[in-house]
Amino acid sequence: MKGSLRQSMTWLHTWSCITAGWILFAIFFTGTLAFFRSEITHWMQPELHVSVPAENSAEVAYRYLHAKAPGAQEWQISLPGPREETVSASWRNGGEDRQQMRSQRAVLNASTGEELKPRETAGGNFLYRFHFELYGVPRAAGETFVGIVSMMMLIGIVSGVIMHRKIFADFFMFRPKKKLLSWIDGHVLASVLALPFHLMITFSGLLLLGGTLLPWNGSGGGHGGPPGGGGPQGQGGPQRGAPQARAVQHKPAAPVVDNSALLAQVMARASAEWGVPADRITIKNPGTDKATFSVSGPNRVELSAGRGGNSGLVFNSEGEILKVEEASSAPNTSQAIYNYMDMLHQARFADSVTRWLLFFAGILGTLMVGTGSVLWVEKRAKKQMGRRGFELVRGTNIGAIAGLMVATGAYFWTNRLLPAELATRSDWEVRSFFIVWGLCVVAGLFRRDRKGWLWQTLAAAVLFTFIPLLDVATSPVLVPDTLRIIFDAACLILAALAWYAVSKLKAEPKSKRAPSGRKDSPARRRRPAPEAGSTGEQTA
Amino acid sequence: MTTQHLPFYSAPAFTVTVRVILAVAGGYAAATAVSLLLAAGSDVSGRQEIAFIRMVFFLAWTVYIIWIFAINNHVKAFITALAINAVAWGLVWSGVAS
Repeated sequence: MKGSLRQSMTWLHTWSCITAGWILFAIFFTGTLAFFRSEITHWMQPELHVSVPAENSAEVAYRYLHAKAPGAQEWQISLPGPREETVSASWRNGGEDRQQMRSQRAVLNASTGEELKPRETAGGNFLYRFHFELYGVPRAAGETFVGIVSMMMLIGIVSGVIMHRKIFADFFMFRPKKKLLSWIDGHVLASVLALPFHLMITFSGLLLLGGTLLPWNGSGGGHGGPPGGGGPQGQGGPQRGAPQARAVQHKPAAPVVDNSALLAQVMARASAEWGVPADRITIKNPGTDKATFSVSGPNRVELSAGRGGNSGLVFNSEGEILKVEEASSAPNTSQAIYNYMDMLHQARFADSVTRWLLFFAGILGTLMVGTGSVLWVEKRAKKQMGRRGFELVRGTNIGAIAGLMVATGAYFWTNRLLPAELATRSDWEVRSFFIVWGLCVVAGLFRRDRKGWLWQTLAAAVLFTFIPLLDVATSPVLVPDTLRIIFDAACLILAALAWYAVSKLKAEPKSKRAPSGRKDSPARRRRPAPEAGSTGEQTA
Repeated sequence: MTTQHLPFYSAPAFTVTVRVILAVAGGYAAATAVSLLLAAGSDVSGRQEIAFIRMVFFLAWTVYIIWIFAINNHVKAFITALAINAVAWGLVWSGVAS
């Protein structure tokens, strides 16, 4: 714009980010939680907690299908794994539509095979979907909006890097207890510490939304649209039907052959081949001597291969390998890069350590956006206190940042406290999320000062701190399994951050009765005068 | 740098609005042209072409926006935006790359 490059970039950084700040915070926060989507959903369905993975999980699912769908064309067994405590069984008779397919699926106790009836919940899926298509608006509109703010984020990151003459020197500078300076340094720290992650997640997010943002490019198709894989997507899925399976025309009334003994054998064989346990078995023509077993697992070796990067093994009813389904690979460099981005964003490959790293990077991103929004206010507090636009931003910041945390906490609490058999239960979970969030925004607008922040961060801290207790109290199983521990731990981390904020807010001067909107809040006067000039130069 | 008593075309609100439009809309157009050109110039097709275009598009859009905002003269920014688009779309329509 005007002046030096750094001044232009500072202007661009400030306005590109503050105008999108609140929604970006929500996207970053819910998206970060979505790294634990499966864990969240598991936590939100306590009826599933009784399930304990066992050696014979595949077999109990087989028994279930044997009794439930003896004449089906195909059975599919999805085994417990690092992110799944239950075993799920589904079947196809051929020719049914999606709706029917969904009803032909059961979640079983992985050691007994008992069918579980989990409560209806919006689960981790709500947070996941919210982070790229929002809620209650047409999907295309939501995705377009998220795409636009993602672009603003990307511009903000790039201009934010350029505006710092000495980004690494700034990174190592932390001046606590200096009010504005601390905010600046904290913002820089959160941003630079995970800068590659911030760039990756924003850019890859845009790629994933490319179908909506670039309707002229190919067939579009929204999130995770066409260019997903780089080859066959099958995981031994239905569309890859082996020819011999189709050849069978007759439908036996009941299975004549019990192949269940083969399961352990083919799984052992597959996991010996890959070095990781199998996680899914598809049985075609079950119960006949023409049965085939397609086994797949988390055996991806190349991220660049995209979603089709897992190889599979097909066994016949004698337990011999019929066919090796090779993993696909990216046909060229550009597709490989695209697949990397796709896989990284969705953490499709991540083991538990990597998943936690991504979670922490996501937290840093969330902090980056949050501290940036607060910084905008702190920066202008002295001059603009009392002005309508400034006060609006100042108040909304509280509801958008602390309020969202309160709403998310409330969402988890509602899940456990609403009666399990309530009709339209998942709608009420989502409603409670938005009602609490709305209330927080209104409360923040009324109480825009430190107290407003304190109340809401305290509420969030309390909600998240007691989630592990709530978990133990309202789950049928006292001792949490791994997935619940992961969820509870993530909540405690959020609680710790909220408590940190509470302690900082409490530590501020006692002369706190300054009504919001007063021109000269005593809190601001604490800022050491000499520093004012040097900070002005650094960040807008 | 002074902002008082300026004609409308020099008023900050006007110049900022123009600059944002130049950057965002002009950038969308220019990035479209650039990604189409590069896609035509490379040998990708089908799904891979869609993926390729997405990557080039968002990179080009970002670079363009930063570029336009980095120019510290409004007239120069306007001319640059027009020139980039004219050249890029000129190349697309002339069919050099196809």
